[in-house]
Amino acid sequence: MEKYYLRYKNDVFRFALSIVKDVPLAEDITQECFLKLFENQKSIRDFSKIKAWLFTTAKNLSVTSLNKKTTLELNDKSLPQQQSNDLQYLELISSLSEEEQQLISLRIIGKFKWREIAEMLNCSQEMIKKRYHRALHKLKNTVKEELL
Amino acid sequence: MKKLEKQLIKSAKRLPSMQKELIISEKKKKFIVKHLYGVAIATLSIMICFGLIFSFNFDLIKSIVKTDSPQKTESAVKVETTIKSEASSNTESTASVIVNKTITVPINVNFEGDTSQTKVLQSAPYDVIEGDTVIVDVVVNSNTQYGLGNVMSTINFDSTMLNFVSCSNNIYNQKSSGSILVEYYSKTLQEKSTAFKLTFKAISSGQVNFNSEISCAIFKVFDHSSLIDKMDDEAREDMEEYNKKHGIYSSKDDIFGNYNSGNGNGNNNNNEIVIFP
Repeated sequence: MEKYYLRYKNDVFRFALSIVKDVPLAEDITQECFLKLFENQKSIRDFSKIKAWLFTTAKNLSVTSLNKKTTLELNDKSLPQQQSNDLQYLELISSLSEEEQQLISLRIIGKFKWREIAEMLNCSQEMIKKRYHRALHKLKNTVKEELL
Repeated sequence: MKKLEKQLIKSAKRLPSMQKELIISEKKKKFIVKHLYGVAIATLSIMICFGLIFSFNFDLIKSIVKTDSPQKTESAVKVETTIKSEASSNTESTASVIVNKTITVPINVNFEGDTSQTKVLQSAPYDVIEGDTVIVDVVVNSNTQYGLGNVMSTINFDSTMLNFVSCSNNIYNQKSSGSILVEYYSKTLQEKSTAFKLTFKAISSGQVNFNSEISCAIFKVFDHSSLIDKMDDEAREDMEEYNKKHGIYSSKDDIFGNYNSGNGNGNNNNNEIVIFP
């Protein structure tokens, strides 16, 4: 249990952060994910897919948390003293839709393979790749040249 | 596009890290390790205690069982131990050990003589833990020449300790939460014994015992066809009334009974037939 926490906590946290854009909330969601893992470990049959399980749980918890929030904004007060560069990723993907942001984050932060992402999102690999490249293309058009 | 992807990967790595530690996981781990040793030691202690208790109870059962007439009660106690162990594939997982027993409580009753009678028996106390199975094994015999007759067995128990599960006899009635009535109707004079089993599940840990009241209505059947043929209607009615009063059973179509002696005793003829209504 501890080894999974040490291995995946940052990835799960950053993935949750990319959705909720609130550091304390993302930390709570991350803790909740691993707590659920601890409580349900007997029912998990294949621990080789635990990373996908964690990310799916994080996504579901993040979306649930978002639905409870009335306004969605980057809350500077909740962030630790960070340079603005640290949040560049969130700014880059902010112009995309929620589904596109999740897809990009699964690929970039989670480093999942196409097959794994397709299983998690219940789509075909071809569809996933198309959506991903479409999102990147959209991002390219909206991001300013000086950020690159 | 690859440039953009690289930029995204670079910026993702600069995102803040998870600062909070998951404290619950460490505590749980210690709790699990301690718990395993504790459970193993507790299980061994319980098994040793039960072994000692049952070996002492063997003689205790003989002295405590009360009956109206001296009779032999077998006090064999069968203990079957099942250990279930749960463990997941994860190395840091919880494990629990459950020990269940099946206890058989024998109740043997012998009826002698030719009159209907009732016997009250009290079993010895048995120690149970929650989840144990308790089987009450009742055997009723008749050493009379008349057969067993009808047997009504009322088994009383503590419903806060035991839950009634099933009865091997299909004619039974749960009179109340702590009382079961089992009925047996014999059909011929040749039936000299009956037996049934009641199964209970222990819902709490402690001591249980059973109080049973077993009564039999022994058949008294005589064939005096020649005598009956000579009776007039009034005599027949008198005899029916007499039979009912003294527990002499009649078939639907034929009337049997020893009218002359008045006490129900008499000689059996070869034409004795019992059809209980």
